[in-house]
Amino acid sequence: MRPYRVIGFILLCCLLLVGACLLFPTSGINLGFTTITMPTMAHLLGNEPEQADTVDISFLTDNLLAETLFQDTLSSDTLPTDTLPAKVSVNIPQQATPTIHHEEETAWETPPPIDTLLTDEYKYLTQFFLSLSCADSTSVRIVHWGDSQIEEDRMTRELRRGLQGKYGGGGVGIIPLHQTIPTQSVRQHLYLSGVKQNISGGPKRYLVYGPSSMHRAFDVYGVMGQVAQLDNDLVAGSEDVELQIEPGYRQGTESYFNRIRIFRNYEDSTILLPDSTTRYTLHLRGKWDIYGISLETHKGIIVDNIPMRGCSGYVFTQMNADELRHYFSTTNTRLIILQFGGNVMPYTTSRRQVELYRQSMTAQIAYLKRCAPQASFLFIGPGDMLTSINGELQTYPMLPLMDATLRVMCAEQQIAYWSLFHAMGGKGSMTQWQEKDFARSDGIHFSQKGAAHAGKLLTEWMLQGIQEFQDKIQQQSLVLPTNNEEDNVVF
Amino acid sequence: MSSFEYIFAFNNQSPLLFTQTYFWVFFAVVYAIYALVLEVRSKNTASSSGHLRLHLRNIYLMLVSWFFYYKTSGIFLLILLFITLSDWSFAWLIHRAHRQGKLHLKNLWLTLSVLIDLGILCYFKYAYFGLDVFNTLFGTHLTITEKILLPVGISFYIFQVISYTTDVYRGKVAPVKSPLDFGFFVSFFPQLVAGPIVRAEEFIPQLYKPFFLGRRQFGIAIFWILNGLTKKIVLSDYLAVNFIDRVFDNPLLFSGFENMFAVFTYSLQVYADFSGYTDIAIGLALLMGFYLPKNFDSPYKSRTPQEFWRRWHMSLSRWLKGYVYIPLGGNRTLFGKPVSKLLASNINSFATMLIGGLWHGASWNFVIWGGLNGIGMIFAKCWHALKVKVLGRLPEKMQQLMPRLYRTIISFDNGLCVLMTFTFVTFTRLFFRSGSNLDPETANRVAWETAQNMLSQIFGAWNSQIILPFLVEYKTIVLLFLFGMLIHWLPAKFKHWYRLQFALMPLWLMALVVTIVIVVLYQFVTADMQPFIYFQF
Repeated sequence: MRPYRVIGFILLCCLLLVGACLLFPTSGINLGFTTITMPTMAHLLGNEPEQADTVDISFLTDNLLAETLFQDTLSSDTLPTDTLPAKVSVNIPQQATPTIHHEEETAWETPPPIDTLLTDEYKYLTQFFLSLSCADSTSVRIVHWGDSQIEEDRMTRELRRGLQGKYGGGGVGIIPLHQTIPTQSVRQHLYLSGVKQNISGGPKRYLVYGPSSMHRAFDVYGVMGQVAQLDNDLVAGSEDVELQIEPGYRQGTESYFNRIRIFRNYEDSTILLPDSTTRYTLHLRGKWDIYGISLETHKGIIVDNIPMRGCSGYVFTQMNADELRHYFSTTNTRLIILQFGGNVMPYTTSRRQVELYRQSMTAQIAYLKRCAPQASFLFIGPGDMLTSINGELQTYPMLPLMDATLRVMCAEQQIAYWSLFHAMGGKGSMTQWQEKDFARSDGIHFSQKGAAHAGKLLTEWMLQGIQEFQDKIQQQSLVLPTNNEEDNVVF
Repeated sequence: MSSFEYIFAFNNQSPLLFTQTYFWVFFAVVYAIYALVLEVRSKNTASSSGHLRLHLRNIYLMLVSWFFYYKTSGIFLLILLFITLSDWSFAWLIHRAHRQGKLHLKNLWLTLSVLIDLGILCYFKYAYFGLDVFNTLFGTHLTITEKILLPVGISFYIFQVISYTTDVYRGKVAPVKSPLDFGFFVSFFPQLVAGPIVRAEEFIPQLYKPFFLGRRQFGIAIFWILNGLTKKIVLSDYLAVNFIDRVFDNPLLFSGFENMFAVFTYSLQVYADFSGYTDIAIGLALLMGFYLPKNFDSPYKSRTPQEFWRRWHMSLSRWLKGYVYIPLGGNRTLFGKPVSKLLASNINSFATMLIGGLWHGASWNFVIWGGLNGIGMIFAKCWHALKVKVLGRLPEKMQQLMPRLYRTIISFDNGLCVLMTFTFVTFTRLFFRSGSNLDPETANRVAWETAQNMLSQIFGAWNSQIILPFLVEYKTIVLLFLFGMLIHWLPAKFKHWYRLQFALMPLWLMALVVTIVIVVLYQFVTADMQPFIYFQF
């Protein structure tokens, strides 16, 4: 066969393909189970205009502009006013701004406009920064809730180490009784009647997130959103449950803990340990609901890592308010970090859906604020995430808008916002993170290295805010409250 | 990036691959000019015309191949050029020493040539691994300050040039006269970056043969290209992106069942990826009138690990046999001393597998992978020997007395052996994939951790409750896996039949089929990514 005939064959194939591109409807042909598409000629020639769905928000310079964007594009009467299930009735008294016990005695002779000391970025964390001054005598807790991006204690660990390095404190914070999703910071082995439990064994568990089959008939889940139910019937012939705990790392602040707190129904238990423990075995007996076990120190910073796999952050209103309030108050929780939004991105294709998410999260935050009036709040939006668009991996079209929207929501709710999306480098930055081995091939999750990097960025941002706060205090010659007695911070 | 840069400059974010539209436009242009080159006529005799055409063709394809390599690896083209010049020169020095009867000089040139080739390979591929081993052994904390990048395809073309100088040394081939012709042999672009590893004696004679492409060969070439693209895009890339990579990225986040399914799916993916690439290479070369050796022969039909290695990456297996196993002593000697056939064969094949493992990647995982394969081969040989000894003449007698029962037992035995070999090979792949696609600086640690985590999940966190929901939610992945394995296990005769039917189609119909296949492949390329579905909470 002569080469020119081969050329002819190639040309014939090209012609047929061009014909297919021209004849195919732009929206493709729907076959029911799938839609067959072909690239347009403009796409083939590289002249295709930017996709209609891609939202350019580069013009947004502040939150108000973003807000304006919504006012322009959305009609409020088309949106539901509340997307939350009306399951939980909350009756929490509206409490005034949290105070610190010794404030009247030592701190503020003329109360300064403390919330105005800091820049917009940090001003809603002022109360948390203020509480840090008590960390040398009591424990100050941070609760970090998030989706799979914080699984394995990845980002949280960096924040914990950074703050514990500066203010003291140790332990990994709260952990579930049965660790079905492993974390790197702590190793747990659970034995029922002497038999080691694997991932699918162990006590009956209920989750507030995840499949509905794992939900509970009522709303008591504890702060982790999960309950392990110790049941006499389950532990046949014995009521003994043995939990072996040891830190995952020999070094690092979280490897030191001298107090164990068991959060359960009816009452909590605290076990004081004589000294740092490398391995601890806990024996539990009875019929209990275990909400979590906290490995901590009696002073300094304690940071809980609470990943909720696959969760978008809608679940808090399904968690009993009294339980949450009890936890926040008894653990002196002063900062609540919510890191959500990634799980809604694959299903968010319109501005309206972004707005719905904003409304839902607004309600969630309002609920949590009522449960933890003493705490500051920080929302961390989704990082850059890639999806396949015409065979090319690109940032989810609605992600920049989602990021801007969540920033607006946080400003409205008077809580701090940290844009992971911008910290990563903005639109398309996930590709660079993948090249640096900072992100996994799915274009969504960080690698260990990347999560550590993201955690360090967050920690740096937080420490910078603390520094800014301390500088302002110094500049204005203000005296911070000091507490010498344990647990003298009240709400 | 300007159009000029896009077309001609190297972009490390987007190296040239067979699955890119750019490549096919590039190939169409290359082929159009190739057709013109083949039409060149000399003013003198017909034979000088043919000679000129061959010469021009080889130079043209060499330049095109260099451009291809530049688009794939950028400045590393210089290494390819250096290797080409170095081995061409050494081959001539070996040849001259041979003619002069100076054996010691001949040995010296060969040793020097191989040392230079392996030195370059070791520097780029094994520097981090070597340093890691050194640090572990001596408790040092040495680091490499300047990042060393691995040039694409270096393992393939280094082995190719080693085979050339060794074949010249052995007198199997005469040295290539023109460095340009030799440059073409080393850099021929279809097989440059992922094989098959072409031995000098197989390819160099083709440099001097005129272009010929039969009608049936043309059809077969198009078939291989389509077959390769389908394997690469549908069975490899889709499965990898939507499932396998996620699990191997962090096995602890998935249950034991998901981990195990990922390892089995990876077995199909790695086969589809590698064999798909070489299918395309074989098809492209055939269109240009060159024959590349077959590289895969339905390896998962193998009944034993030995047979698997005769069917899997055949060009590498042949290379290892010819240039490692035989020089080590084959089944005759061990460390130069004659020993029993069984001992020599087993030890030498085990050593060869270790080296083969290390060739695939620079971490202990690859050594373990090679070692496991070596052990598997030895075990299978011993098992066979034991079976023969225990059963004695029983099978023959049974065949005579109860032929139907005998055939049933043999079929069952064959099926069981195939499944066992596939499972064994798949299990070893756990170490292979764990060590793949890693930053060389941390490859050893990460590879070992991943393998450990996978094993702990598979053997400790099975969670059978999720099997059903998993099969439902990941039905596309599961069906693709089953489809791939089914096609793989189709009888060779049937495959040969439909390949021939395709090759003999009228050209217009073939073009139509090509178009339809490309439309289907486009659907997989542009398919939405499978969203994350969690089963373990």
